[in-house]
Amino acid sequence: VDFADTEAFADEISSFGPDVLVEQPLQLREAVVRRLEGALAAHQEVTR
Amino acid sequence: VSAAASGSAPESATSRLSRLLTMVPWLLHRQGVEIEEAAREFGVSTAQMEADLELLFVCGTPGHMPDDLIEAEWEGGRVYLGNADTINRPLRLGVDEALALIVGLRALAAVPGLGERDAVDRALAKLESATGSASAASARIQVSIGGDVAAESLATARTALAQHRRLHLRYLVAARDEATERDVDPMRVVNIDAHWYLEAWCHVAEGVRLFRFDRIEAIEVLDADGTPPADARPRDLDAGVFTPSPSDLLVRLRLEPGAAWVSDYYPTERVEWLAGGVSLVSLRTADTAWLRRLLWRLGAQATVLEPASLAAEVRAGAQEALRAYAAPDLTSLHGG
Repeated sequence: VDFADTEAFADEISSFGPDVLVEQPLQLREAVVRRLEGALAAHQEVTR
Repeated sequence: VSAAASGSAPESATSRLSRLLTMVPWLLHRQGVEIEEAAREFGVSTAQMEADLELLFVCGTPGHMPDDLIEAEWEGGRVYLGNADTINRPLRLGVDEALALIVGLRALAAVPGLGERDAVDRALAKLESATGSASAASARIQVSIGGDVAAESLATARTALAQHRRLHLRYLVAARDEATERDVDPMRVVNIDAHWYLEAWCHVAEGVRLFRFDRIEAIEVLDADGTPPADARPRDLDAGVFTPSPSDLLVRLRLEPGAAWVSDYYPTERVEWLAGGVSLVSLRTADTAWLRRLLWRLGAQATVLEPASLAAEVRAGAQEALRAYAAPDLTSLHGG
């Protein structure tokens, strides 16, 4: 897939949750992981 | 001379007064006009017209002398007015009133597929020439009423409405992010908060639904009667378009400043602002799939406060996704 803006594309990719996995490039992969880790952290706080 | 007007509902004093005030200059400029024509012009019965003239006959400037009063004659069916110079002034608008009208008319003129363009354009031209340079100020005011919507879709819906024909829609349901096909019986076309909506009886949902024109991907008039069921009632739109049913799930979110746009973008019930640009948002939705997607992409910018089940879904999905990223044999698996 071609894309222009890593952050914007990472927004879209991360919205698919576990349904989409980025293999490469690393930069996009990291941007997606950062969002998912953020979502995880934000939701562990509350439900503990 | 006949007595007071026959009529069904009693008329309010203010509406009668405004008719009387408008009537004087109109009659003065049309001396000898037939009383029937005057009655038609003002949308009243001839009897009401006579009653109005009787009242005018005892109106005038303070003083109680006969020549202080308006003279009105309508013998032989023709109306003559005299001694009414003090209120012989046509409708006058203040600059602010005129500007408000101009802006409103321009907005109306921009309505896609509007039928009565001529009348709007004529009224605009009169107002703009009367206000002169002051009307230039109105150019600085922009009214947006969703002009980006395809005029053809609106025109098609209006045609179906006028001819009581059924419509076929391909409609994007934003909450589920999917296009749906459905047949609907149109009820009305409305503009709310700068968006155009078609209100119609939906044969798929078997209920009254609002369809946003910018989410209608295709619209087609069908060769079938489109009269909605007798019990189909238009919604009361005063409270806004989104009237989620109380059975919908109540969701409360905490939004960090980076996610503040969410409360503008999605219909919310309540937004409470905390220090530092943090906001607490309440919304109701029947479907949480779009919310899960939104929350994954927002990352640490948003937290579900309620319900716990949604928070758990977001957490589980994020965990599952992250496990896949952590798997060491990822490349070999997919590289095959």
